[in-house]
Amino acid sequence: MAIASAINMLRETAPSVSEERNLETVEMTINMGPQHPSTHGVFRMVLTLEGERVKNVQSHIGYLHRGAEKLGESGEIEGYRKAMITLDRTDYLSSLLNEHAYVMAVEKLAGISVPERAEYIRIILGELTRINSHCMFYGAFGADSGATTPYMYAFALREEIQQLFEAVGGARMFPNYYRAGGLREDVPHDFVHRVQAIIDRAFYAFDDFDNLITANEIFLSRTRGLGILDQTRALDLGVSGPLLRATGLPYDVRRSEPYSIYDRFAFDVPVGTTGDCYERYLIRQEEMRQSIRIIEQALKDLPGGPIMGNAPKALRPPKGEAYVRIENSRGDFGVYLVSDGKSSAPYRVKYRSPCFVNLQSLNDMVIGTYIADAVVALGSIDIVLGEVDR
Amino acid sequence: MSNNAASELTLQAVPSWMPAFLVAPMIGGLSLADLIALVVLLLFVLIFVMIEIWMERKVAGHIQLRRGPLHVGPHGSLQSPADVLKLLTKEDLTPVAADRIVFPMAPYLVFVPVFLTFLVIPWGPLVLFGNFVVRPFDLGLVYMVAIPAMQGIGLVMAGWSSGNKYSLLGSARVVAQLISYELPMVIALLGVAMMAESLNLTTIVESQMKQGWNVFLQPIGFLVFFLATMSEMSRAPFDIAVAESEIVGGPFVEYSGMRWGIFYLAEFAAVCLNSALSTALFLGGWELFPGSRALGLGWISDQFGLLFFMGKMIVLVLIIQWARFVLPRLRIDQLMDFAWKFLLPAAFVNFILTAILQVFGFVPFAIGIGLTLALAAVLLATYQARRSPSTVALMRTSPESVPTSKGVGLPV
Amino acid sequence: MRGVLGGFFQTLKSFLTKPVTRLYPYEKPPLEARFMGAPSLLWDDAVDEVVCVACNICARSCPDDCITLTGDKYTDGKTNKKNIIKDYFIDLGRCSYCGICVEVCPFDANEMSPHFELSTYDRMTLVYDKDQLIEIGRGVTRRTGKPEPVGPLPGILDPSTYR
Repeated sequence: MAIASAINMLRETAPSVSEERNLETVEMTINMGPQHPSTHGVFRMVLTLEGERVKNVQSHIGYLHRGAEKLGESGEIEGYRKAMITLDRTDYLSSLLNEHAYVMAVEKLAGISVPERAEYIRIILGELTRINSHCMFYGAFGADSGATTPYMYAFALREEIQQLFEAVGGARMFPNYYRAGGLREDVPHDFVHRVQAIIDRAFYAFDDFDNLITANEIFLSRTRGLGILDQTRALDLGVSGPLLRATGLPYDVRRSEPYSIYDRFAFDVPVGTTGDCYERYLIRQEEMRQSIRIIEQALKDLPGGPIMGNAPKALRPPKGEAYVRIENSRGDFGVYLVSDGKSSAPYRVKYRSPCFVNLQSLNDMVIGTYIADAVVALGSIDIVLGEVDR
Repeated sequence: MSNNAASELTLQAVPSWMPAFLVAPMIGGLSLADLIALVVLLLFVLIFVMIEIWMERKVAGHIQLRRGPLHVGPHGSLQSPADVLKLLTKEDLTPVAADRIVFPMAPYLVFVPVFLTFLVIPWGPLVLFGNFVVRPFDLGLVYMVAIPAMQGIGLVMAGWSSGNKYSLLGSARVVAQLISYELPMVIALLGVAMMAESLNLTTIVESQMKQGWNVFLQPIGFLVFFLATMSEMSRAPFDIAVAESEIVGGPFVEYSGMRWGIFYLAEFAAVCLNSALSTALFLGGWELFPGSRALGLGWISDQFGLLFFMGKMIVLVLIIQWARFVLPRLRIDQLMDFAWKFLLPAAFVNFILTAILQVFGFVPFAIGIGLTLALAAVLLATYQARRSPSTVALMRTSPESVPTSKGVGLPV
Repeated sequence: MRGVLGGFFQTLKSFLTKPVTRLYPYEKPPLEARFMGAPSLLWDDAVDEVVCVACNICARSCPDDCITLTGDKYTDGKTNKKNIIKDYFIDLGRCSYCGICVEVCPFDANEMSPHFELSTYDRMTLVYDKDQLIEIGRGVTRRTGKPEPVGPLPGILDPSTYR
């Protein structure tokens, strides 16, 4: 009896469900960036939070706008060369790939042919740039998810590749090495050996990358199932590159619209199934290995001969326009050039930057997740702010 | 086995050669010897933290194919004192939005509890000096659980008073984390108390010398305690409270100069503290190796025990530091899951198994261990089966199978 | 568990390998022959004067507009040039080290030097005048546009050093 009465008493004093206090939390807006360690430069996200949950995200870009396109249109002489200097510095991680797109556009505009040897060297250096860029992704993605060591592993390999760029083009990040019609100068005589050495080493390095975090359970739980982007939505947004391939569509410009001499090489296009952050990571890991495959084939067939085509000394293309697109390490990169036929600088320069377009998918990935996930999802897009803001 | 039995083994906390005026109690029951011990302990903590920071940076460097500190002193060993000097000379900023009273107070409230907990640690004997322990409380185990929990208050004060949303988020995370991990830690300690039948840390160490180290008798308990303390002191992979890639340092965002240095000091002192506690509670304290007393080698531990204690402690510190440079960070919900769904049940299992050992003897205990392992294997297998394998399909190289951009109407 | 332990083993392995760090200020980095540092003016040892004839092409081609130069009538008569530079400034704070000025020079008067350590407290000191540009160009020979000397294969990276 005593117990029953005690329980009754408790019941009476305890608040009933209907009277429960309102436990809703107040929304908080925090400003992530432009000075934040993991917004990949000067990207700014304004997150609306409910506790740890992200309710809304608003992106702000433009902090690194340098007018690369407009600068490309200036210049009384050598305008076509000057445009490439600013192009190099937009996407500073895939500079040689972007140079390739640009010189191809100029060649299309002016009707210049490119010798075989130059094409092969462009392929080799381009794929090395892709590895270089994906290494950077590996490091940054690891850091975003909280592991600091991947950065250093990635930079050990990047160092070798950049040393090669220095040997070939004189600069480690912005070699400014391609020219309309070929290359600035021939590669050093020990080029093949050095590339071979990098390839040999890269295989070890990729295994180390994998051992470090690819199978790590914490890493898996952080990235798997996060930031899922389905195929229709990805196509609606115009997303390209590893983000699109992770959704299951094997769309790679190198394969879909083979440019340069990519139709001569055997390589696989990795695709995912669910389109989450982990698959984007795996796809980039696999693409590095496929790049090595392409480089190996190109090295085997590397022909001798001239490295410069029939390009005139002073470039003054006829009136017209040209659009060329390539697969750079982030997706579908396009260069649009218009020539007025009179000046030695392009009348209009326009870059189609994959980062800018891919960044549109951020809201789809981030809303409803945690703050920590927002950082990882942003990292999986692999943006370069120089290219987003241009 | 009670305190009486243990006291026969207890080495004198106060060496006999110490003059009487040193041990005579003064104001508040403190003797001069106590004050000296406190100063020595503080110096030890400061110096050990400096060594620890240098060690961590060296470990990090070599793991990451770098060299770590190199230039100040041989192999950069004087880097930490140099950093302290730098921090002392830096401007001490207080943000306009900060609370004028709470903000400067918070660092001390984080460091003092950590330091106070050092008082109960039985460091072990060294030749002439007797047994190093500042205060061999009979309620040492309760004390060492209760006091460090107070540093949560300091962290919340720091986070709230900074007037920064990142700090606030960080301190909210700290509270959630501390409360969740306190529970499995305490329950894991129940097993230790049960084995020693005492809450006195010195007695616990001595009982381990008789019965065997707790790490072998209750490995689950050790694991739970180690992981829970790692989380309590916000070390990777449980460092969501300071997570520099998300909330850029949590409660410490607005601190600069030596105030920030005190937080840093507290963090590393906590690593030292928890390694020392793990050593005392699970790794047999100052004993050289398990069963050395039975082999007649007990005198080595009795004479040089302090060194062995330090050695074990440093190994644990190294493991904690190693983990930081391997593992990514857990997310807050995963962290909570880990505490409530894994550590807490595991702590209870350890509690029950230890009770079986203590009441029914070794054979039922062994059966219990076997059952636990079987259960763990089954759970692991179901977990593995539930997880889908990693999926990245490779497209074969026939160009026909790949859609062209015209085919699917891809955007340009 | 296996993934986590794999990470621990991997880090243990890298802990035991040789660090890849170069001790930069103490050990100078091995610069490649084509390394593009600051642009420099070349000195013609045969006639003991600068090669440059102040034609202004480099200044006009520069994408950063960092070159400013003025010319003077050439009176020495040692060579058949018509003009010689009076002042020549390169603002290395603006220079992007692209090498275009070297490429377009019709007189082989300049070359990218290996000079790259430019840290300074005052950005005005980065505006190099004629004498400084000649100074950093000492010992530099014109390489761009010339055939490359072929020797034994130097600088091959050894993959075994990494493991």
